[in-house]
Amino acid sequence: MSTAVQRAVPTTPHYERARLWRKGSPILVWGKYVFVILVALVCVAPLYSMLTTAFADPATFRSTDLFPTGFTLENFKITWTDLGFRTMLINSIILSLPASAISTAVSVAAAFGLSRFQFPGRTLLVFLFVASVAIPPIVIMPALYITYSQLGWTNTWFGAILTSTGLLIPFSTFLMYSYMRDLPKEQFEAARVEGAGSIRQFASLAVAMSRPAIATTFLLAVVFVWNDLLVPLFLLPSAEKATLMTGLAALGPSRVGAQNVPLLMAGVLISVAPLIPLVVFGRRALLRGLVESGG
Amino acid sequence: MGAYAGRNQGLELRKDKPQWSGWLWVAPALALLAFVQLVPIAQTLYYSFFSRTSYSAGEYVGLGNYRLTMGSADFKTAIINNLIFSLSVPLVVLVSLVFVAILYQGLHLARLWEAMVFLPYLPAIASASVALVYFLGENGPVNSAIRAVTGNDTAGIHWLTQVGTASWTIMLVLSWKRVGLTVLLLLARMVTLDPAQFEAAALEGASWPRTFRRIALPQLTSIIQFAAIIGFVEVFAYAFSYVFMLTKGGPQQSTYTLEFLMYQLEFSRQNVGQASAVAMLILAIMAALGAARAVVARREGELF
Repeated sequence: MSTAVQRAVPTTPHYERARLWRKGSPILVWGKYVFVILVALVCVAPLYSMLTTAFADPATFRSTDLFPTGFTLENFKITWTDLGFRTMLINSIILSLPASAISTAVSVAAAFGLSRFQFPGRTLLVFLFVASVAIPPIVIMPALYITYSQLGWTNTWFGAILTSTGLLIPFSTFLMYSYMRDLPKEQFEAARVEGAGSIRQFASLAVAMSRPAIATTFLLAVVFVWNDLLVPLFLLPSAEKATLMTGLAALGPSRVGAQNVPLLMAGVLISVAPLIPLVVFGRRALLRGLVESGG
Repeated sequence: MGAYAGRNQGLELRKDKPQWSGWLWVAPALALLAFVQLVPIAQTLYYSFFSRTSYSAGEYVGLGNYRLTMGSADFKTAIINNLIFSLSVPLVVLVSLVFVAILYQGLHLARLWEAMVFLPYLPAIASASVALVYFLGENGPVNSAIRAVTGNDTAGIHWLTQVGTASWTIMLVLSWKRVGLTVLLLLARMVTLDPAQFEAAALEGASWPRTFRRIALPQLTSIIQFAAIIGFVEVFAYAFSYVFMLTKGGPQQSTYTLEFLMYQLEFSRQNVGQASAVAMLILAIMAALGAARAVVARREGELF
């Protein structure tokens, strides 16, 4: 359980370290490969099937093909315009970017308050934020729906963004708190001696020193809201405000005949694609954030 | 969870003068948390004592909603399914441990296998589910492959369409989605361990499985606990999305979970009171899990 600042998470494992045992019985060596390759293939197969189907020609596509052949980009054109994935993608952006930005900003401020000030109730607040991480979002939806109906906030961007922001707060605050708690206090002390107020300390010290953690928090927030089904399902029920997730849920394979499976898979790919560069390039940051929050 | 415990080295501990301005920095986050999560939970607790529907406030029924819920057949199914889904947590930990033990020892193309296992973590539950409903469909690729291999045109598994099978399929889907992250977490901890201790064991002639069990495993305990806790939290937090996307609770309501039961009660049967009672039961389970985590953390002396 070392601390955020002290421990740099190695993201390139040195597998070769323990080669001392490599000479084992051939059966054991084969068994290892069989296990690892089997697990890896099971993990990839459904996604590979999705990928090849998304590019398959609907005219010759048969659902019985394990991995369909043929290549066309026509599916994406139809999915993009006719199935409304263009609008859904825009809606996903409208929901996820503001919610992630607001929740990150608010969480950074809260983490600063919790880590740099000693005040009555601080420990209780930390506990409250940490405990709230475990609240399953689904349990608050019925009551929230009733309240929002009375306020006229259902099916509004305001209500949905507000809810996504609120759902993100506990985890984001907790992540930022575990980072800021370990920042060297001497620098803050020095700044105080030089007469810097808490706003100065926040802007030029805490935020400046926490940039990587802020990036991680923001990245995780975007992924969370982008992938979230619940908020748009309950709070943005109209078709023109559907996000990629509710759009996929509404289209569903049950309503689409076999000949349209390639279109559906093209839609799945569109819903996943924007996150791929984010996760590939941000995997270090994502992993660091998760490992640090996990101790 | 876990690291919040720990030392507050950076914290300015001036006991003489409380720094009340700290509250100001926390206030916006607290307000958002309260409005979106804490107040609705308080409302849910209140509603759970009333025979409230979507159209009327209803009257006070005491624990009636809880009694009604816990006596129903759907509730039993839901509890059993939540338990089945929870089995994905030990399954994922076990598979990940074996995977990491093998990978760490050295294997050709180790990075490739690691990346492949991580892939299912990327797509959203909704996206992955749509792909899986097709992939595991009656006439989907998997069953077609089974038919091709067995030469029997009626062979195949009713993955998501048969009572009894569907719940286990969802459990496997949950595991499929989570194994990569657990592997990454375990590997990240594994590479911080001192390799000299493994080399010493090797020189003394201990086999790698034995070395892993005796030397590595005890040092992985805290990260395994963390992985297990977030696993359970995710099983409860996301069970609804999986069921909603994969089976809609069917076939014959056999894949109901507590979360899906709550959704059904609220939005299909308009029974707000009973839905609220189910919501409170889910929260009680989460609180029990959290308490278990706190007890473990305290035993390790790491809480606050």
